[in-house]
Amino acid sequence: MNRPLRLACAVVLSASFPLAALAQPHGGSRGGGRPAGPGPGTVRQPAPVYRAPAPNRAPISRPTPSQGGFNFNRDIIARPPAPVQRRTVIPQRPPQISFRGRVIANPHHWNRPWSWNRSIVWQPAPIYWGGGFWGPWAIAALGAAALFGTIVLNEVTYPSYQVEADSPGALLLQNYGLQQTPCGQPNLVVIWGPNNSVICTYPNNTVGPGNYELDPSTLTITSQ
Amino acid sequence: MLTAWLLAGAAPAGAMGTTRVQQSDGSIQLYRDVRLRLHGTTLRLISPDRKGVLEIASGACSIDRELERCLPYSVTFRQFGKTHNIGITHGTIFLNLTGAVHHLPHSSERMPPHSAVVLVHTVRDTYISVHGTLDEIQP
Repeated sequence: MNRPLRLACAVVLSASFPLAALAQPHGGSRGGGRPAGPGPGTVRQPAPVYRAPAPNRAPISRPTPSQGGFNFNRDIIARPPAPVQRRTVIPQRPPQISFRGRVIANPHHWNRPWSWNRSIVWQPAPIYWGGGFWGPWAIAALGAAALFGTIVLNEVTYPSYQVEADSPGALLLQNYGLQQTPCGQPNLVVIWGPNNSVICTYPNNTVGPGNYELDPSTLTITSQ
Repeated sequence: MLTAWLLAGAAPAGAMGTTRVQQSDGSIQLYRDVRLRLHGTTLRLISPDRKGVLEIASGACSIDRELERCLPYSVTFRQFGKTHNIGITHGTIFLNLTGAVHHLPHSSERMPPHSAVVLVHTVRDTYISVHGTLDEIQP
């Protein structure tokens, strides 16, 4: 074969053998540290590529950071409210109990209203069980697992939860020397708190069994 | 304490905070130089360019050691002439309204005088966290 013919053959061969083909891993290769590929005659499928699911974007113009201000676009766009799985229902109806019994003064003897809270008026925060008096327990996050017994009164079930250590409710129990226990057993101290909340404790020498109403301003309880 | 005093004159010059907003799509916005103003039990965050205002209303304020702890229950967002209510599930606000540095409860984090630490979780799974010095305190 003369030289021009050899050159022409070389050009044709290189054109029909793309360089990309050389870059493909060869099935059955050894020593390359890769698992063996499919045998001859099988169709090679591309390896699956993980891609994070694209976020749900609503076709609504939103303020962007470049427009200034804050960006809360996912919280303010118009769409159906997120399903809140509220497994626990706090009754709206207060317990039908008349508390006209004895006021059991707080053994700590707080002198003035709210002095237990350094004169800060305690007001309930609506989205928390007991208005937050017994701890920062968000109603939306309360589940059956956290339940600390229930009180059933006039066919209404009032759930109870554990008092948080640093809460005003814990201070109340500490002042009276009471120890919380799950509601539902007989002969317990039942204390009705803000926003139709209830907790139960064992009785002691200061507080006997029965129903009590809490006065958050003086941190005192009144019996039924 | 949320007592009737105005801190505006006592606040250090340029008293400001940092607000971090992490939305459910993973996006994170960090805003520095946010003004923090406490009016009663409502904390007002003003964006650095003053175009956006976030008002966090809280209740159940009680003293936790030397700090005041409140529970946020509603968030109002005002921007571009519009007002939006942002539903929240829970959160906590710590306020150091004293003139001394105090530790956050159960934490090594120190809160400087007249400062706030806020964490709010919204029903849309957005986390809002705020650290900073209060620019103004009003009853």
